[in-house]
Amino acid sequence: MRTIRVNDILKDRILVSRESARLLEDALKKTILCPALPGGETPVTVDFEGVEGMAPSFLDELLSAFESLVGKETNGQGRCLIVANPPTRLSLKFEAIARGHGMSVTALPDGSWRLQDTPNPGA
Amino acid sequence: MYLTLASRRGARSRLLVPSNLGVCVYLKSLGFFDILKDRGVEVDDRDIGARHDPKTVLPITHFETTANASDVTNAAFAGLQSAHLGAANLTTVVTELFSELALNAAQHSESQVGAFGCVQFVEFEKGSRFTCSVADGGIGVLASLSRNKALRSRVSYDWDALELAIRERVSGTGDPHRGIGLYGVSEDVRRPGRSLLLHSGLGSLEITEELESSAKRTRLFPGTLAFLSIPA
Repeated sequence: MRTIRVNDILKDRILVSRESARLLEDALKKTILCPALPGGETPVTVDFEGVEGMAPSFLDELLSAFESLVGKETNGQGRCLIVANPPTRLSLKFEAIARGHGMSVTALPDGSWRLQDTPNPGA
Repeated sequence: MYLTLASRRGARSRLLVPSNLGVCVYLKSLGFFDILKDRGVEVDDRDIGARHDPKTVLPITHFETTANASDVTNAAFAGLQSAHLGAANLTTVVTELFSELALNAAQHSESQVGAFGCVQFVEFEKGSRFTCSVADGGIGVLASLSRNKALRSRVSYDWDALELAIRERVSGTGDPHRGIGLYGVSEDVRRPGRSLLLHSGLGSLEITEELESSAKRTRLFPGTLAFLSIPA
């Protein structure tokens, strides 16, 4: 499993600051370096079960950390991150955050969010 | 804010408490008098008792750093959960919006007296509401945005700085990833019955679903004040 359980690392119910997002960086790095299962891509999942709320700044910093780690490994091609059990609804502000990182975010049928690289229309 | 700033600068400052005892008890219960006294302001609140009011979700609380802002936000969340006030699904909404206002104050205000936050459940004739207030005694939105050279020529007054500050990716930091917090709050406020009032220096900006946004010149506030109101 390439999953980080946020609640195992951060104890706050509402995740607010950029600094707290950076506390996930080590776990994110280990997870990204963990090989995908044979036979297909397994996106990294950040599971927010037990978290009750999240400020946009927190997600923005989490994506910055993800971007810097994945960028080093894959030159940013085909980046994909799953936010499982998101503590809040998917709104314009979170879409704006994804856009800022060259990604788009969509809600999956199970309520998770899928963040992935926005296709380059010129490519 | 004037009193705390004056006290910080070494001036003697004194609050003349209202003569209405009910108002005094309310202010005392909110923590208003104690916050001022802790900062060297003279407050003669003798014989004024505080009452426990479950509708005060977060009494006026001082914070300075982003870590403090996070703690204050989580305290507000705990208060909302234990008080069982309003619709349950609003607990997260109120807390997240408050968190962004608190983070903004901690990150951008450069306030020498820190910032103050308060969350209340208020019953009006037209219905109950959650109100969140965050105030700082800092440099203001105009000066903060002017830290970014690319924005300096676009803002001349406090009111147009406020109009610019609520747009996506506008930040005094110049970091292309910043400038989402206030944009997000303003987007979330454009729903029935919600409103946000920002007051910084001589400018104020009100956002509602009907108004969208309206900036104007107003009386001086020595810092930035954000007041959010959400139907419960």
